[in-house]
Amino acid sequence: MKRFILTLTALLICGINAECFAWGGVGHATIAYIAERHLTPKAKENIEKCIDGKSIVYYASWLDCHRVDNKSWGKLSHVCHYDINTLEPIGKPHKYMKSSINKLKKYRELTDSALKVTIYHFVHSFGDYHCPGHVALYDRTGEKPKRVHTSSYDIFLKTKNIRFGYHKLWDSGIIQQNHPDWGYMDWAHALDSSISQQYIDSVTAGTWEEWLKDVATRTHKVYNIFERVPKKGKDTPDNELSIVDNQTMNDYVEYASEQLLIAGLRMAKIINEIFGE
Amino acid sequence: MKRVFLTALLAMTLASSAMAWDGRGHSAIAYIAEKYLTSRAKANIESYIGGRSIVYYASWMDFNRTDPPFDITRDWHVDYWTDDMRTDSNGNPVPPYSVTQVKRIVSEMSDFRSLSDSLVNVNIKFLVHLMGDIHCPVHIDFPTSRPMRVKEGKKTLKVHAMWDGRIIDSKHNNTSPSLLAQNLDIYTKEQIAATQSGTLDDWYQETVVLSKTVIEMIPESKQVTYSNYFNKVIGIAEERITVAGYRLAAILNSIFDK
Amino acid sequence: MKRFIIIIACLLFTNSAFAWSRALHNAIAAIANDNLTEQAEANINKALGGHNIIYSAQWMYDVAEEKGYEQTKNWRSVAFNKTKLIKGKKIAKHPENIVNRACGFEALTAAISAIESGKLSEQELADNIRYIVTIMGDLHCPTHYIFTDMLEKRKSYYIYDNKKRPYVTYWESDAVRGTFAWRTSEFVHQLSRLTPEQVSQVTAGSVTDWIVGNVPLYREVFGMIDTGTRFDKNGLRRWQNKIYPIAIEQITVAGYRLATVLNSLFDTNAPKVTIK
Repeated sequence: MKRFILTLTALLICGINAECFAWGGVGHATIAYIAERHLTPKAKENIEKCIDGKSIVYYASWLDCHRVDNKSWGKLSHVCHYDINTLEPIGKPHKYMKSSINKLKKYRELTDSALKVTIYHFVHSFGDYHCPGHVALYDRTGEKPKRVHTSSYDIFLKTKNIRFGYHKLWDSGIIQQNHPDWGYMDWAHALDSSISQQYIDSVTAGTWEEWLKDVATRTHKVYNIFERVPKKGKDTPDNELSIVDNQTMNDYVEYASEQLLIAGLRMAKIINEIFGE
Repeated sequence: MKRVFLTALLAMTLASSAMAWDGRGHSAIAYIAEKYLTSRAKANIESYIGGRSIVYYASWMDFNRTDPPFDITRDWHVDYWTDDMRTDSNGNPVPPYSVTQVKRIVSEMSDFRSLSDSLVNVNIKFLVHLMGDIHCPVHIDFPTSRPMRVKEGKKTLKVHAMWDGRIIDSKHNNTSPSLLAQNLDIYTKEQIAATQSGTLDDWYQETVVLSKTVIEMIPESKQVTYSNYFNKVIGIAEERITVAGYRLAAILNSIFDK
Repeated sequence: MKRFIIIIACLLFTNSAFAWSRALHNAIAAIANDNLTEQAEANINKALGGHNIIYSAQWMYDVAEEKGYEQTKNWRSVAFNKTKLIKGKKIAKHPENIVNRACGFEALTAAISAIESGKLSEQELADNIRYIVTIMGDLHCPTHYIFTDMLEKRKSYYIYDNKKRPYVTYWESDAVRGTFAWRTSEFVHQLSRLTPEQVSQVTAGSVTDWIVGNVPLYREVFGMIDTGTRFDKNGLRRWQNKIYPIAIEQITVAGYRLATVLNSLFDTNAPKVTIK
């Protein structure tokens, strides 16, 4: 845990390098690399042909870095919205992603540049959408949808007397909490050493929408692990504070590890279906 | 804000004060061990840890020693010695915690299939970590070395913290644990077999000797540089990590290759 | 105050002397290692006591304070009068102190020639391999090129959140780490994938051709920023997006060229690299 604080502090001090990444650069790369390990040779060859022979891992965080270069890239939201009652994905982010997957299904009809950006969007946002900090739940029973599940409350690690934002916690690399020296290859090796085909089949069963619903359901549970109290003088959800202990934080890392693995396996399934022929 | 910052700074100072090797060192040991596992042992082990690699759990003990039920392991990592022996509070010699625990686990696991899955799971995590700790020179802590500080440039370091990460980092900066393992795993078959001979007590004694050596090698000025310290001790650190990996493999194979 | 300035100046100089960060030196050596022929790799690893060249990537920095190796501090850069390489005695005679320390080309070619001579002791052979590994990395880092007509550009810095950073320091690490948090093996996975045609292209010519051939791009790099440039968050990101592809390309090229030199020296069947 001490290392976690060291890492967080380092990230705060050296924030210039880390701030543009959702899962953290290592997390996104881990998801893409796990996916790459599960690609068929044909799918790997075909998708790499579309991106100048590079690995999909190279582009795992491209969208985060380059959204400032082009307005249309900036519009591709990194947070997925859900209806809190049904936990179904809703709104533009989901539509953009669905549109990218549909475009990829007809990838031979796209121009080279359009295909590249679509792959970059898919590879990155697929990771984002499995990140608990990138889940937003909306109550749509009233006149206007109201965001009720916010990722901007604070976490207070009571044993260390340190506080950080829920969203930033994930974005600043929670997965590096215990392993600041690991790269994406280390993560992939550690998580994906000898998982069974049965496990792969179970987490990749279903449709893209069902996967998203699964993420929302699981994240909703994690979100609600924390007992939150209002910050001083404020009582909106955005200003709540959650008090956690070391054990909870370790559980959190475990959850993040599982999300990385699942996201990678699911990404592989889609790429294999589209590019494997 | 000031309080948070000060806390963070304090945490940075203390960050690795009792971590043995840092995460990279422990991970590298696990990588080396994994390479020398028999396929049957590897399959058996991974079936108890959810298909993950033992590398994932190399530092698990460090992250789980503050909260129940694993707070009982808090003292297993470092052995505090008087000048020439480990004693209890009454001054009576006692065996080292780490070695005692490894011996207990090895004995308990001799028939691992008769144990519950969760017990085997946690024992694997213990073994993977403790074999690293046993080979770390500063995990034998003497009254003279405990409070010792050194300076690298203007930065003050505890000797323990320097050995946790800085020594390895001095040569292997930004090297991932897998590459560190690859770089260190250059022993011949005969050399590997030689490192795996002997008993756990013999291996521990090697660390006892080195624990004094690495302290004696610190320059009197306590100002450490590449030329007066890091370059001289890096070989010791590399050897301890490598040998720990080979021996961990031997122990895990003896338990799980059946 | 004066003392403080001296300390800061020393820190800046120390940083700037590292060319690529140690991490990126490792990356270059790892890419090269991945492209050695079997024969070259076996011969080199034998000469290095069983270790590969990645293990030695930072060695020249580690021993810089050791007796007998002090001169290696001057082997990390090269100097140019505009585009003309400053060589031989002209280095020591040059009025600019920074040029007097720019002996990288001399050291690299001396190490190659020494190994070619076949007359080295075991220790000398190992040392010269290690020199080549580090210097080839240094000489593919834009800020280790000293252009006498652009010395003021070396003082350039960018400001972000009111933090000043020397331009040369930025190139050592942030040029890549600002975008990719890769570890050494991961650089190999990402970058050691040139096609045979691309390899032929980047390794064509002599060692001198490579070093001089880098000049136009590296002069452009120095022209990419003005002293006192102040970026906002998005502006910095846009700028980084222009820089990192150059840095990645140079690391890749350095790795392949290093492999070419070492294959030439340690594989009897490999094509020979010439110095001039």
